[in-house]
Amino acid sequence: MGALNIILSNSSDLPIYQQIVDQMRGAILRGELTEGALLPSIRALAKDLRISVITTGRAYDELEREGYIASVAGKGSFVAPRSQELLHESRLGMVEEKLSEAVRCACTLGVSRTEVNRLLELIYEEDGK
Amino acid sequence: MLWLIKKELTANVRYMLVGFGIFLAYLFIFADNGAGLFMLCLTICVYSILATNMSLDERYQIDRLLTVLPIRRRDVVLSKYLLVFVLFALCLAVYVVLSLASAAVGYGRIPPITFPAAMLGLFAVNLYSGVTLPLCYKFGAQATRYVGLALFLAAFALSPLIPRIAGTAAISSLTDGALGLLLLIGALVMHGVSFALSNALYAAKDL
Amino acid sequence: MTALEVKNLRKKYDKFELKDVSFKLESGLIMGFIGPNGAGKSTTIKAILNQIHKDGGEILLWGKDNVRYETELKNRVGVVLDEGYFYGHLSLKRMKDLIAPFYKTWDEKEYRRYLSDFRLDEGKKISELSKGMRMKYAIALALSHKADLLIMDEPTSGLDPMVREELLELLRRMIQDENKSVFFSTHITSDLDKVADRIALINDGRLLFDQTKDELTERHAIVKGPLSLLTDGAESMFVGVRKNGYGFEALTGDAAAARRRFGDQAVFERSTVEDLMLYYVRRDNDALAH
Repeated sequence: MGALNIILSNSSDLPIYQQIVDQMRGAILRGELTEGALLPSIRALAKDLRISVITTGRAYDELEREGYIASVAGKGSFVAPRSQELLHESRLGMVEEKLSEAVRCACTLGVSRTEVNRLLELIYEEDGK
Repeated sequence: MLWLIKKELTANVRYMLVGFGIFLAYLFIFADNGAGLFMLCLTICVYSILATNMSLDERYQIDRLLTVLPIRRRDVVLSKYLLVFVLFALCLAVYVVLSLASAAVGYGRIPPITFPAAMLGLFAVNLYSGVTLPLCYKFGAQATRYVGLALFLAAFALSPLIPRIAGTAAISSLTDGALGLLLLIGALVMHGVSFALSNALYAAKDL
Repeated sequence: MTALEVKNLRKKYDKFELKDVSFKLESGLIMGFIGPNGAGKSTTIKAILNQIHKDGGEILLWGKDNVRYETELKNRVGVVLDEGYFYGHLSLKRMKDLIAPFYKTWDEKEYRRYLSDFRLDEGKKISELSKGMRMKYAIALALSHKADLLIMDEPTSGLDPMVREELLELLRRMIQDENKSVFFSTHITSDLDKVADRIALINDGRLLFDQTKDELTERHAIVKGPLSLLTDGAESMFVGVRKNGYGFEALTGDAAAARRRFGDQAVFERSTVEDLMLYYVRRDNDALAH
């Protein structure tokens, strides 16, 4: 397991707690945080990131609601065990969200659907994927 | 409570020592005052120590510090009154030692302490502190300084009267014990009344 | 557990009045109290410490009345005032020796640790310390009797940024224990940006808001754009607007609505605690003037 990276931006539109949720969720989905891994306490995390404990608490609540983590009273929070199917669904969901954003952007700027498709092909070819 | 008295005594040790030094010095300076010697020297000593303590506390705004600590305002006031008793006891002890020593070396100008003479001392300082402490709580140390000084000088001006009062029929008919007791009761009553007043003033104060 | 609760606090002076100040601080949090000079921050703290008598209202620490249980509660409260009220002619050691015995739970080891962390020389006289060192000494004393609530009145004014950051880091460390809480008043709003969980703003004796910092930063935003955008009552969605020859800058209390309305035509920035204070106080003062 690699180190958990949480990089927060003050200039982002997203609220801080949302940034934490997104980044931790990403780390879990990418396998950087393995199942059962013990997470830092909300207070320790708040102190290290130098943010409010209310913020980290909220991020953890959200992650718990989404089923990514679980908290045991007196012991802390852990990465929850997840079924492969749910994992796959979440991964799809994240990509879908990004694609929707790109499509919205295209519509606003008047880029056509065919042009978007062509761009998608080009990107894959470029990156050698 | 004890710690508060300790604070009074040790916050300014140097001046405490000066105060006792003054006491000693004046014992020799006023050595011919017989029964009134103890009272005079005690009054000077208590005056200087009390006045310095009050003005030091005011200068550094120690009141603000004390409200942060877990102590009752009543105890803060009480400690000042008890301080007077402590100073009385210490000076009395010094006096007794000195009078014994002076008798031993044949220097007879420091007479041995008698019960009424000691109580006279207590009465005098209780009177002084009984008046100045409430004034201090009401008007502050700076303003009270002048009253204190005035009282103090008045005590000096009136001290020649003491032998005359002592010589009157009413007083001289009393035994030493009775006279002493009378003075003691007077001293305690004054202190009690003054304490009640200071307590009420300090309790109501907005710091 | 509510560490500190102030209910409808009222105090009247000749030229100033605290009116119905109410707020709550839960355990494990840091609450910042901001406002312009003379707004009533120090008065509120004095009332909490029972240094002054309230004209009305209730103040509870851990559910207990601050007057009835005064000495019991003060054992659990560490206080740092804007001035260290100490005997200037005494050494740090002797001053500590005077103070420590009053506390039931004085922790000498903890005190020594703070002294060494702060690099304070016990033998020095208090009058020889710089303002920053005196503040650190006051903090060392306040934190050495296992206090559960730390109350500070403008602790960082007069301190350089390095020392301020040290102090803030100390606060962060302190509330790792969720039973401890911190309440401090300041007009250095950037400190609250860094460390506060909850913020209350007071102006002219009245509380203008009392919310978590998250709520405040999420709901508010600084909006900048061309003057032409200020049409159709646009100004009513702002707490305040500043216009100049090149455009406007405003604070909105409903960032989502503002984004929907102006979209790409305006620039949106996160509002700082200072922005909140400036705009809300200005609006309040304008309202008072009319």
